[in-house]
Parts: sequence; C-alpha cells; structure tokens
Amino acid sequence: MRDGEKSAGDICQMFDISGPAVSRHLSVLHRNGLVDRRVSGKHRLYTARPEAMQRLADWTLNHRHFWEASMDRIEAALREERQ
Amino acid sequence: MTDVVRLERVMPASAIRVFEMVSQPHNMVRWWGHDEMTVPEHNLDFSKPGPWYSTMVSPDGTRRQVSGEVTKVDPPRLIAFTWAWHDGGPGGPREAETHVTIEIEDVDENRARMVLSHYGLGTDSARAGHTKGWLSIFEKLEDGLA
Repeated sequence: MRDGEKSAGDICQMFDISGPAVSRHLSVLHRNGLVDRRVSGKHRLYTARPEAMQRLADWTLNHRHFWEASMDRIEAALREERQ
Repeated sequence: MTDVVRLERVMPASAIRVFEMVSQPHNMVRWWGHDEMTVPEHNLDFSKPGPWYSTMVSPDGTRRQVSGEVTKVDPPRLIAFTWAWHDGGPGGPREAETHVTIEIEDVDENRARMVLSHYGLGTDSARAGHTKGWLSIFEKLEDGLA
C-alpha cells in the first residue's frame, strides 16, 4: 500500500489468515483513518495514509526511555565536572 | 499494567550539586530530551515554580512539544511538575496531564540518590502494545507489497 493502491484480494494473498479476517483488519484500519479506501467495480482498493502512520509512531515515545537517557546525561555531566 | 515509571540512581555528586544540575536552566539544556533529538525552543527552569515547555525535533524533522507547570520546589530535596504532550506537535491541544517528582537525598558527601517517578502513565504500555500490533500489520503489508 505504501507503493500505491492495492485491492483487498492482493492484500489477502500476503497473509496466512483467511480472507474475511484480512477484510476485518482492513475495515478497522479504514475506520481509524490509517488507510484510504475506494470502491472500483467489484473491488475495494486500499491506500496507506503516511501522516496517520506517523502519528502512530509518535505513540512509541516512551517515557521510561526519555528519563533513562536523561539520567545518563545528568550522571555524565556530573562526572565531567568532578574531573 | 503499571502506570508509574520509577527510576532510581546514585549520582556522583552531593544532593545540592545534583539539584543544580537537574533544575538550573543552563544545566538543563545539557541533559534534557530524547536521544538524538534537539531542543530548539524551551523555557526550562525547574529551580522555581511556574509554567514550562520544550519543543523537541527528531532527526527526521518531526517537532514535538511537551509542557507543564513546576508545582513544588524544595531545594535540594524535591522537584514536582506536571507533564503533557501536545497532540500533533507544537500548538496542538494538550493530552492527558501526568505528574513527575524528582527526589534527591545525600548518600554521603560525594554521592546522592536521585529518584524520578512519572505518574499517571496508564495509557503508555497500552499504547505501546497497541502500536506494536498496528505496526506489525503495516510491516507485513509493506513487505508483501514492496
């Protein structure tokens, strides 16, 4: 989908799960604004929305990681001053 | 599911010196932030009560803003402040407010224990799990379609 529109059928072939299960996943992605969907004849065509995926990546901003990295730098700065 | 991040570390300096490093503006810029992110705009000063904010930029140019208010300062023992990300970056509405305390106490004359607690992160681990699930779906989609 990153490279453009794909049909639900194309996407189904990439997974070891059933067609209906893939359709359910795609519906959830669409409902939450992560993919665009349009109907062409009998096919449903899906496209990824990069800006929505970026928002997902933001969620991974992890507070434990933030503070651990900050404490590493506090400790390093204090050591530097002692020398 | 835990909603508190708690980190404890013995620092190689007295409590007063650790407090100065953690709270003073000219020292805060030396340590504040995520790895590999720059902090081009901020008014960081945890040495006295009042509002604070910082804008952080990741290597890909994404700007994020976090802000809050320093609610209590008891040198060198305690700093307490609130913390919330701005949805969608600088200028966006603030997300759920969380609370941070930094406690500092002398261990001996050259060492002090620093305890940082970040409360109210109930959504953090849920979000991380959520994200992992969604991203793995996307990875499969992208691998299959590349």
